[in-house]
Amino acid sequence: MLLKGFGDILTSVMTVNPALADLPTASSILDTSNYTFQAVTFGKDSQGFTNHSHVVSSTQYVDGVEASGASSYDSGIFTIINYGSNLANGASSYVTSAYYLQFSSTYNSVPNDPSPLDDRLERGSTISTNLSNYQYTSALPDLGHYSNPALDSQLSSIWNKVGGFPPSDASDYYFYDNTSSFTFSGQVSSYFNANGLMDKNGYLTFNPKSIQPATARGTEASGGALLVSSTSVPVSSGRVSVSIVLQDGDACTLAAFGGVKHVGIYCLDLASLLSSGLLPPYDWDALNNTRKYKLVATVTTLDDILFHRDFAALGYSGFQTVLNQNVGTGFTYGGPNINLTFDFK
Amino acid sequence: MIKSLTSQLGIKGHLTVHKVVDGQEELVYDEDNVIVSGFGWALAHLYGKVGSETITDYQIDRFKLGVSGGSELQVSSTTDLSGALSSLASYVGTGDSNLDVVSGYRWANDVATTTGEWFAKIPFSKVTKVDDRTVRYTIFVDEDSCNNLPNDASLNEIGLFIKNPKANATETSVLAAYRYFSNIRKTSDFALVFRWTISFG
Repeated sequence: MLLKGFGDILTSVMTVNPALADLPTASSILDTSNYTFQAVTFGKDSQGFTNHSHVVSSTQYVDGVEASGASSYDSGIFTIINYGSNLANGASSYVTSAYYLQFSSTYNSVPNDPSPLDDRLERGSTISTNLSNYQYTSALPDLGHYSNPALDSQLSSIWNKVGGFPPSDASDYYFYDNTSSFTFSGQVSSYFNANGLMDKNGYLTFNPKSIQPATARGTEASGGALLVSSTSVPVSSGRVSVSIVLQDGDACTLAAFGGVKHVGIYCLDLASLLSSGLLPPYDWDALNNTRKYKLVATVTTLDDILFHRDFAALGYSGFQTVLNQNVGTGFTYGGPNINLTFDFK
Repeated sequence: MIKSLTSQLGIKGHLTVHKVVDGQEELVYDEDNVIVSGFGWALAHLYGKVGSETITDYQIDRFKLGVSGGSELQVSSTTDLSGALSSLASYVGTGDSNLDVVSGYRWANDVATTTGEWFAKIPFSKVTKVDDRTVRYTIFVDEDSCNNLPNDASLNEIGLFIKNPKANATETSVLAAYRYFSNIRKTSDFALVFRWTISFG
């Protein structure tokens, strides 16, 4: 759904003063990059930010041993409790659905309905209130979408509870079934963070390249969200697709924190940047991102788009094998691909 | 099914036409208009990063007037006026016209024309940001413009064009909005004002 923010951008496109071309200090305002898609975020239902792997409670388990309390946010270990399944059923994947049996009486897992007036993905609070005794509680984000605490100096030590993306290096995770029995462990690494594609507020940058063939989704993934075309979606038809590949630990942690039910597309908020005294060009810097964004389009689903199962016949674990996978250069395996098509005609 | 831009965002256009006699305006036309597919075609080039890298090339900065419009042209697939004024003289005559008329090419169904066509420029001072999502284009055709057309033809169609979305060496524009209106036989006794408002949701 295109939002009022996109109308704001189009109005700016139509009314920016051409005379700025004659001002050396301001001519870069006329560069198209100030008006095109620049970021993607991922979101979910607001109550999901206090459930799933965000949970801190006396029933948590770390290192395969029952803990007596919150245990310093599970000793930094990323914990997944698969409330919906047990070993008897052979399930090893964190399975989410439109409603959660384990939370049904207390947890409304439906994301807010989309509105063209939205300026953030989830209108409700997205603060993980179960972390309210954290020493930097004021730093806990309420962005309307997943943040990227691994790059936040005040939150990086509890990324495993704030969510939704792991650090770039290999971080341990422990997986438990619904009887709190240890199932397996492993490591997760963020592809986005390893490639400097996401800032601390969860804004995934766009690949600066112009539109690419769909086959480039794998080879160009290290540049961020990619504009793609195909014979069925040519630019000449007025259509453009945005491709985002979730891979490695990013897909795993998002799934374990409650999945993805919103995807947001952003342009730069040029008016806000200029009023802050920031002149273009606005270079991308994941560690010190000065860009401000305006939400221009969203996709909202009732079900988690990272919903997955195990492929028991071949011994594939959905969580371990399918999600925690690199796409490779040929884009022949691994990593869910999100493809959003815009029809401008 | 993917909804189109105009239906998703509710993009609407509205045109009023006024006769101006001795400084007094008389409303002679007041209707909604059609945003045509060329608008989205240009946006796809902007958002696909395959067109011009200068944002002003995506602005509506010119128009055409014509003499053989019809309601059947008020559809998304229209790429040009049916009977656009085809000479410089038709726009500016022999008097002291206020119009700045330029020659250029035009995109039609992803193919550029190769014969020069005439467009009248819309001064940027006549482009008004009415609110955060509304733009108004004011087109003034003075007493000395568009008079004595061949065969005593009457003006009855107008189109707004986006400047040059693919940054061609010869400016190649694309039709963004079209409107057919009731016949106006233009003379030097009066001027015309077209106020075209486009709302982006």
